[in-house]
Amino acid sequence: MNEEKYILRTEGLTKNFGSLRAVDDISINVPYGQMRAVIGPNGAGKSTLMNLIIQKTPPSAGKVFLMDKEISGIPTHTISNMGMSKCFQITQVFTALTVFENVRMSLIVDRKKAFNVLPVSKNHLREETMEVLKLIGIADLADEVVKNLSYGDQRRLEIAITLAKKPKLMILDEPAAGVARKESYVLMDLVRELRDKLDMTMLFIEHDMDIVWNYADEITVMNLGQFVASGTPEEIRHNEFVQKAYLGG
Amino acid sequence: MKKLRERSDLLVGIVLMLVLVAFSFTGSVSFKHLVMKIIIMGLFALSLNIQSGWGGLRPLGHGLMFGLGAYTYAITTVRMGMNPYLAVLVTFVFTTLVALFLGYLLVRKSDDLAFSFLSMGFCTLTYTIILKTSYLGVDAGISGVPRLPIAASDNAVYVMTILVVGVAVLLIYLLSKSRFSWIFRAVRENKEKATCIGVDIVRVQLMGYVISGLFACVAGMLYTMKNNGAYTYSCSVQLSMEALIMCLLGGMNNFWGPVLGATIVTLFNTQVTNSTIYANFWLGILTLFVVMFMQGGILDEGLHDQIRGLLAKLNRKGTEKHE
Repeated sequence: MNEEKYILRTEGLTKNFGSLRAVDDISINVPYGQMRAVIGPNGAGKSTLMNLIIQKTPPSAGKVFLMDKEISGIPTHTISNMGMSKCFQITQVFTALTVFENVRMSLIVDRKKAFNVLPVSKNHLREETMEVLKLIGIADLADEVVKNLSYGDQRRLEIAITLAKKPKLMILDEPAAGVARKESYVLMDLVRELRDKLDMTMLFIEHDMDIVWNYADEITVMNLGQFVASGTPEEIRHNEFVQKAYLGG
Repeated sequence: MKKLRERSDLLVGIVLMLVLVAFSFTGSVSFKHLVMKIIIMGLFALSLNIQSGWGGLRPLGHGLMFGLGAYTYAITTVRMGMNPYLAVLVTFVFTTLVALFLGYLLVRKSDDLAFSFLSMGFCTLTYTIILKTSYLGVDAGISGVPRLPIAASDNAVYVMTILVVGVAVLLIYLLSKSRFSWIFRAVRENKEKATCIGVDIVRVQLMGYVISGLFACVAGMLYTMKNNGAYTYSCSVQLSMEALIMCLLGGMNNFWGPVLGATIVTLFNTQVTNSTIYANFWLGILTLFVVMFMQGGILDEGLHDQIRGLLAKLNRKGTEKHE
C-alpha cells in the first residue's frame, strides 16, 4: 500500500465505554482530495469514530495517521494546527461575537498570534477575513452578531471559521442536519467547490442518503461499531448486505 | 462622534488622572489615603476582571496574589533588610513564579467549580500560614514597611500611587485591545470551538491568570507602601470576595465597571464600618441586591436598555393618563 497517497489512515481504531464496544477495529484510508462519506444507522459509532480521529476521545486501541504522521495522543488543538478541522453536528460558533470577529479569531490562531499582547486596531486582518467570508457567500453579514443569524447562515459561518485555518482535511458531522433540503444542497455544493478550489479532502457523516449518493466519491458503511463495507456510491447501492442492514432493501 | 465613543474609555482615564493629580494639591492627608485606597482597589478589581470578565474564570481566592505582593515586599524589606527597589523586583519575580505554578494547577482542571474552590483553598491556606507564623507577623501583620525612597512622604506616595496605577490601568487598557484578549474572551464564549480552531486553552488561561496575578501584586505592594505595613486582610478570602463584588457591581463587560464597583465598595466599607458593627451584614445585602437585580452591573448596556425601556413605559402611561 502506498501510504503517501492517503491523507488520513486509521489502524485498528477501537473504543470501549465500559463493556460497550462503540468502535471496533476500524481501519480506513482516505486519499487526498476525496469526499468520503461515513454512513450507518444510529448507534453505529460514526460520531465516536470522528471523535477518535480528531483525538477528542482517546482510543482504547489503534492508531490514527494524518499525512503519514501518527497523531494518536496529540491534543485536539495541535491537530487543528496540523491541518485537520471539524465542523460539528450542532453548530459551534462564538454567538456573542460578530460574523467578522468569528472568522478573524481563526485567522489569528492560524498566524500564531494568539498570545500577542500588543494592541491592534478593530480592523485588524479585515481584508483577509472578508476574503474568507466572500468565498462562503456571507460577506454581507460581516457585522451581524451571530446569535441573530438563521441556522443555515450559522452553518455557513462554521464552515468559514474552519476554512480560515486552511485545513487539508475537513471533517463534517452531518452538515445537512437541521437545514432545509434545498439549503443542504447549496451547502454541499459549497463544500464540493471548496474541495476543488482549495485542494482539500472532506470526510463527512450523513444520514441523508440523497446527499451521500450525490456528493460522496466513496462511502464507508458502519454498523454496531464495526466496518461493514466501503466503495463507490454505485457499489454500496448494490451491496446486498448494506441493503439489508441499512438501506431497507 | 463614533471615534469619540470608541475612545471613551481612554478619555475617562485621562480625565480621572487629571482630577486625581489635582487632589494632590488640595486634599487632606486622610482624603488622599481614601483616594489611594479606592484607586488601589480599582486596580485590584481590574486585575480580577482580566480573569473573570474577559476569561470567564471565577477565582474565589484572587486575594492570594494581592497578598503575595503585600507580604513579599514587606518580608524582603523588613525581615531581610533588602533595598526597597530590589524588593519590588524580587516581589515581581516571586509572584510570577508562584502564579505560574498555581495557575497551572488551577487551569488544568477543566471544571470551573474546581478552579474556583481550589483558588479559594490556596488563599485560605496561605492566610492560615500567615496567621500562625510569627516570622510572617501572625494576626498583627508586619508593620514598619518602608516606602520607596522617592515616595517617602504622604504626598509623594500619593503621587506615586496615581502614576503607578495610571500606568498599570493603561497597560490593562492596551491589553484589552490585543489579540490575546480576543482569544481569551473566545475561550470564555465557547471552549470547545476555541479548541477546534487550534487554541491551547490551558496556555491561554494560564497566561491570563499570570497577567492578572501580576497586576494584583502591584496593587498589593502599593497597599503595603500606603499603610507602611502588610496585614492579613491583604491575603484573605474576604478581600477576594469583595473584589468579585466590585466587578459584578460595576459591570464586567465595561472597562471602567470594576473601578466604579471598587469605588462604591470601598466607600461603603469605610463609611459603614465607621457607623456600625454590622458592616458585613450590609455588604451581604449589597451582594444579594447586585446578584439578583443587576447581574450585568451598573455600567452594563443591558441594564441601561432596561432602564430606558422602563422610563419609556412610564412616560407612555403618563401621556395616556393625561389624554
